[in-house]
Amino acid sequence: MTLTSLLESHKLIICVGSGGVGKTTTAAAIGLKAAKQGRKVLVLTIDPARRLANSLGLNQFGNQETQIQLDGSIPGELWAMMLDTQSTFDGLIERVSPDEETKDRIFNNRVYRHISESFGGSQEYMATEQLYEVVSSNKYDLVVLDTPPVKNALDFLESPGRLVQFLDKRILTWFLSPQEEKRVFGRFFRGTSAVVFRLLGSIFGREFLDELSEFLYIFRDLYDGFRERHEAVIRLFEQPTTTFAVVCAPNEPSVAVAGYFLNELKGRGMPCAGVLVNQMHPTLGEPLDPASLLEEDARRLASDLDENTVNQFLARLGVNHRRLLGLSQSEQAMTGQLHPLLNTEQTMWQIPRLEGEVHDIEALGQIFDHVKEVHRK
Amino acid sequence: MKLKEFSDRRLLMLTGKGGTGKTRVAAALGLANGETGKRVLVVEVDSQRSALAEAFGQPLGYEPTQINANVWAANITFQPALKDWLDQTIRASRIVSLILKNPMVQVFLDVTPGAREIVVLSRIVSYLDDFDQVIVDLPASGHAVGLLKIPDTANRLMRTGPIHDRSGEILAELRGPDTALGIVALPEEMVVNETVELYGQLGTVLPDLDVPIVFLNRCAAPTMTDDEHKLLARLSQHSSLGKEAMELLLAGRWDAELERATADSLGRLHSEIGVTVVPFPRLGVLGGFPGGPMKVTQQMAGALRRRTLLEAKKGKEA
Repeated sequence: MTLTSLLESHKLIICVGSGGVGKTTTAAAIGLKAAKQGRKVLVLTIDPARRLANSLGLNQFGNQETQIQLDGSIPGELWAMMLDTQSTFDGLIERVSPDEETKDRIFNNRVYRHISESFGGSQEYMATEQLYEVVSSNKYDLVVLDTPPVKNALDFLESPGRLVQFLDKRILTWFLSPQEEKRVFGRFFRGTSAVVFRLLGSIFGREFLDELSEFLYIFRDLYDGFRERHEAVIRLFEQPTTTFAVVCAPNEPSVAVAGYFLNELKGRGMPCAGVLVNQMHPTLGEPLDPASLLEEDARRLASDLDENTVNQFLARLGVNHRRLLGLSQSEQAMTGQLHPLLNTEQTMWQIPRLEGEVHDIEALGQIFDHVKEVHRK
Repeated sequence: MKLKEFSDRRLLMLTGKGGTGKTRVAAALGLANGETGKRVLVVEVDSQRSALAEAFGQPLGYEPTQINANVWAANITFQPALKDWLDQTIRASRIVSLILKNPMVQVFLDVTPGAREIVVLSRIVSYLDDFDQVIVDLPASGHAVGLLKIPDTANRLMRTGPIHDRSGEILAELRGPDTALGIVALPEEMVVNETVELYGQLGTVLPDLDVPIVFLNRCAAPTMTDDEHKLLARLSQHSSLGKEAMELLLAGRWDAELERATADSLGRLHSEIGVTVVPFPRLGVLGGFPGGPMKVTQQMAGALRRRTLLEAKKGKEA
């Protein structure tokens, strides 16, 4: 599939991959390309927003949808937004709380404050939460999500599960007695449960268990709301207009992670358009001789320079080029390892490295200028 | 701070933006420090896919695997660390297996903020009793900050009990004089931006944690003369060159850019955070990585040894 038709036919593109592979820049470049195709696009990123702001030529932007100024000739619109875990979490509580009192009790609960701040995976969960909001608002033709750099797994797919699991009714009933409303830990347990419970108390401290039980007690009524949201998000991922795109760089660790993602997505039955390999070093694939190709011109242009310059320079170019060639060959070999993992409908887009770093719209717009499509042989 | 002084600390941690090669630096530090006669353990924090195994070129598990005479490596995952934790805290194997089998307890430990991390960190810190040095390959920047915040959070959230006590001990270790954290970076503008940002965040989250060194990977020492730069620019503007000549010049410009970026990054790291920068040259780039990934780790360890020797020589001269 061409990138153009990929951006034309989807409403949600989720970029996944390990850190440091240019995922944020790629997400921004996808957004810009889609805007050039006339679509109204939102690029959603997770902290640090600096990365996306950098590649859009901005200093910073916040957790509000911000329109990026584009050249007048571009028919579409490009918007960007950062996800703020804490405020998204708070917003979610506000939405699912039945009344003011419940809401305030949650906000004041110490366990909640810590969970929303440092819950493993809360960032990822909130990413999907915010994603659901903007996609279902139908304000955009296309939403591009830049996921947090997790190398281990598709955490953001699992975390909603974990949070919902936390609020699962069976667990709540295990912790909370039906007769009494709170501070009931352990009292009604028999046998194994009672022993285990006392031990949990001795590990975590009674006080914490009490606070946790209050937290769970208040959260009891929010469970359905959370579960519905989670299911809606999963449904969103399964839409035919949604697709995942694995982003990687042509180095060993990154290609290994990309392979892992391809398999994971396949295993979960999630749609995946293919792999974008960033920052490839393009070459003609042959050793070149600087002397025969450049010496004449170099001599002519170096008449006012130190006499050793030309020889030194040509020798250096030879070394530089051998290094480039070596790099390019090993990159081709490494990305080739991904071919067997792709199915016939998936594409590998090889994106040549640009000269210089990308931190303005103009450079961002050039990223896909020379993209090469590779299909499974 | 000198690299030697950093390498003499008992607990070393490494983090940095993803893709900067921090795992490799952790492994190389392990090899280099092991050669001085120390017994060193290099660990990775709760990884589902072990990157450290790749750096050492052999599979790793929860129990330390011996890499050479003095170096061991392990991936400290949660489940076995939990068992170790419970064995130590409860000391009754029947009850431990009862707890481990109880599904509700699993969920409880899984979701209680910080429990998982404290259990893993606790195991790592307790290895200081068995090894002369423990080197921790932390997760990438943002996640490392989150992880390092947890002992303090857990210490305050659980006001009594073993988690409270243990998180207090871990916190004391992190803040102690025998601990240091190194940031791994690349000579690229965005990576340096994030390094500066990360340094600031670490200062806020754990002000007492010593962060004295940045390891700058894939550096290109500036060897190109001004006249060569001029010639490169003139030839690059020359319009009648063929495809092959253009490719040669592109290769030249890439290296010139890398030299410039290296100088810029070194300058910025000195002026903006003022820590010691330990540069690594580009390695294994001529035709990939001959000899496999372990070879690169060994080459980096070699670079660390040379740096330490150079420091010692300079010290004598002064």
